[in-house]
Amino acid sequence: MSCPDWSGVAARREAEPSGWAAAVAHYDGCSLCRREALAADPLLVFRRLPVEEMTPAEEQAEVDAVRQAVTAMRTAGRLEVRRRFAGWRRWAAAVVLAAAALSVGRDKARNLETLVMAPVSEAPAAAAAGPTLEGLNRPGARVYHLANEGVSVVWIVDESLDV
Amino acid sequence: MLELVYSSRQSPLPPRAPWAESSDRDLLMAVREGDEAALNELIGRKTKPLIQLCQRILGDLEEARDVVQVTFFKVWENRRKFDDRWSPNTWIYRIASNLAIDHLRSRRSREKSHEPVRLHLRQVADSRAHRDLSRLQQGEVAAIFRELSAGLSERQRMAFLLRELEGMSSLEVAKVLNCRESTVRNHLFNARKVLRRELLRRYPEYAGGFGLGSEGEEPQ
Repeated sequence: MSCPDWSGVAARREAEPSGWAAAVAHYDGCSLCRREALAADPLLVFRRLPVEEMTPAEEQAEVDAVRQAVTAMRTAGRLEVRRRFAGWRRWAAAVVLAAAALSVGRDKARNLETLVMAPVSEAPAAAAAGPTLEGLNRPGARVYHLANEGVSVVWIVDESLDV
Repeated sequence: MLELVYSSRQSPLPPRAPWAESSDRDLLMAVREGDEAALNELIGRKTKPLIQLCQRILGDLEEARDVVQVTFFKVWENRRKFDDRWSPNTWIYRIASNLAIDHLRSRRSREKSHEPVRLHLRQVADSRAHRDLSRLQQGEVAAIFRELSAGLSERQRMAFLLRELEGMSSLEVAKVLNCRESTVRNHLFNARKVLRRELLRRYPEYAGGFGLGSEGEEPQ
């Protein structure tokens, strides 16, 4: 491509943005008309602002570094949430225990009856329902059986354990 | 002996989603659902252009790396906010731009406390003003831009870089900066005006002896 008429394309810059874009692309690769281009728009000099040119290996190293940093930040974020939640849970447990202690102290007999009777009354109903195998209807569910002398283990896994 | 006694899956495992061939939008949709492999693929694609953008904004490679790392962390943290009607590039660039603007602001407040050093650097930069254009090095361009763009607001600087150097349209810049297109044009007009005036005043050799030219142009 021959060098553009810089004063002309600069004057029509807003009216013909595609012409300006083509001229700027030419500027990036041509040193012959650089002076005319800068005379038309001195700010073109900032197209030479440095950017990091990377070989594929360097780019891969940058990508790996970013992945590691992001993983570390996510892990740190999770730990922070757990730490905050643990603090909250301790306070909640303390409040529940305090409330229970106060409640037992106030009406001990009635509360003890409730605590003792409830499991006894619910047990027959649970037994009547029979044993259930949870998880068999999950996607990719499989049942494994490990049988050795004196040992028999059955377990169910689903696709969340697939590697 | 371990024996498989039951499987709800009749066919073999389906192949993993081929993220390498997926669009940016599909990647972000998967990231939104919590897919870490999609995030890694996104990092692989966007790290280089984002580092280059942030390096231009900040004028410092190390700071650019820091901002890019936090950008991808923010992408993950805010993944559920991504709307598939948005352009993936615009969304990621907006996050990076906001972080870079925050970085610039904090840098400015730091630099205010180092005013004597800044004045010395300014004198060094001024002494370079008479060098020949052909010997101009990229590092000097960066130093000059950093000096001159100190007179711009962060948004003016961002508008100039995204429009003039990244080649985005005014509409795209408006989406990244979360403002109206007319506001972008005003930012651009003012940024060009200030940069051109200061460039010609402090480094007139770049204009090849020509005058201020089209300084009086109005924003379109």
